[in-house]
Amino acid sequence: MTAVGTLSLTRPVRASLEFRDVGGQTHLMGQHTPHPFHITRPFRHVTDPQGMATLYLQSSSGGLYGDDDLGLTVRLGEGAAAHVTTQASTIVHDARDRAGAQQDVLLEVGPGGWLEYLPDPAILMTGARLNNRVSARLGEGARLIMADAQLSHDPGGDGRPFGRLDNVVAVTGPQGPLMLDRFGLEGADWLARTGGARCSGMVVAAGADEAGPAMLAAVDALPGLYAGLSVFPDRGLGLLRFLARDGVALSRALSAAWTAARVALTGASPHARRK
Amino acid sequence: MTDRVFSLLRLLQTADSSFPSGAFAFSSGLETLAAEGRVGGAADVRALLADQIVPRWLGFDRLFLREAFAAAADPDTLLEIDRRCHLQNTVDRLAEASRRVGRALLTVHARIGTTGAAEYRDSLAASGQATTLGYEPVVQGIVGAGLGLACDEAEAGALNAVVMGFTSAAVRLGRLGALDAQSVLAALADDMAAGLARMPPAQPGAFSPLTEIAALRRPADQASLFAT
Repeated sequence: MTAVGTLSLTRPVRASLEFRDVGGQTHLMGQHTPHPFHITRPFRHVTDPQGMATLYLQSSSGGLYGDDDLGLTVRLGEGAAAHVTTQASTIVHDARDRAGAQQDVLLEVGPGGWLEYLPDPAILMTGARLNNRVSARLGEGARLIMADAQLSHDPGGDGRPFGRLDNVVAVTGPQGPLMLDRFGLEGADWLARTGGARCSGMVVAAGADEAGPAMLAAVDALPGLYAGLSVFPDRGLGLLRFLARDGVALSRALSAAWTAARVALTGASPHARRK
Repeated sequence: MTDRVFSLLRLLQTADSSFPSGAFAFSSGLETLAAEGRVGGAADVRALLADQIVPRWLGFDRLFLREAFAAAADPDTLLEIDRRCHLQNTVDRLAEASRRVGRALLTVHARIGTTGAAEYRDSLAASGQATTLGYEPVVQGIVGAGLGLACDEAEAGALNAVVMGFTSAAVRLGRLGALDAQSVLAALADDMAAGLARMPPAQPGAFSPLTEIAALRRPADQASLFAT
């Protein structure tokens, strides 16, 4: 959602990454990463499933500003596996009377593919305005573990919250839509809605709902976390929701949920991703 | 008797706690919050209503009610609205509660002959989705139109039902006395009226994570007063 009457002069920037399985190993076969997108070289861990490639997304601009309009498509071919994360949180800066930043992520996972899309949370600074949308399309037998989290940061501690957040997470399977989670709120309402927690987030396990109980058990044991799990077996979905006292608790929750999901799905604990 | 008085009488009938909607079996997470020591007395209950329950209804349920009210004579469109409500109800316990109340309402209104209720009950059965659809706001829109209410009357009745249900749960959980409950309701009326006077958002959305998570945390294997 943009500020009423505000004209955006920002050029949309669209990035894409394409992974394919070649002989049981996943390779980054296509990339288009214009500024401010930047990526590291893909690498592998032996304990990861299906020859998974791990790739870090980085920003060369230091976050989202004003009316940035960024889009990212991550596409996995049949049987491919990728772990895509970020080097650090995405800082959403004060929109300063601009329309607000747009971030549109499309995740396409081909049949039998396995995508872990685990960006660090968006840090919403004083005055920030963000319209965030993550859409996933899953092929037959595909699995997706994805996180979506936000942190309200008021660096001056003077009660000047972010401006507005509009957020959508949508997942579609081979037979049609599976879920649509949408919310929008003014920053001034954040703490009342979260019961005083600075951070909120969710981890979606799609095509992998059996990972849900393990994710909840792992997160529920952490200090500063308040979490609950929804499971929709008819749609193969597990949704872990949580509130976190601060950024440290939030990071621990994301890591613990992912680790637990991986153990539940493969029997092996994943190698920690350094940041 | 004027049409206005007639519709007011129907609204009072269906909003009464003796009307068998089943809504009073749900606490919207309050029972968990109380058990976890997160809710003390009247001030906490009022804050939860003002910060969680009312905003969630205004931003989410209200839009499906309005759509269903406008489409009350069109069964195919009603099913499509119900399906969207299903996809967007991403808190499983609250989704189940909404379906149970919606289907109970539909059954009662079909029995008492409210226009449109039996037709939608039959549409649900014929669709093969009777177990996944029948959400409360969709049914409230249908029966509101069938009772001859204006849309804003149907909205006020539905919001009142949510607030009354939560307050009643607080009384039964021992967090409020009966008089305190009435004070909370009186104090909240301004917020409710102001919320209903505002245009709803363009699309339904919900962000009341504290009560949503609390509803999810209700242990399934322990005796509870409420189903959420």
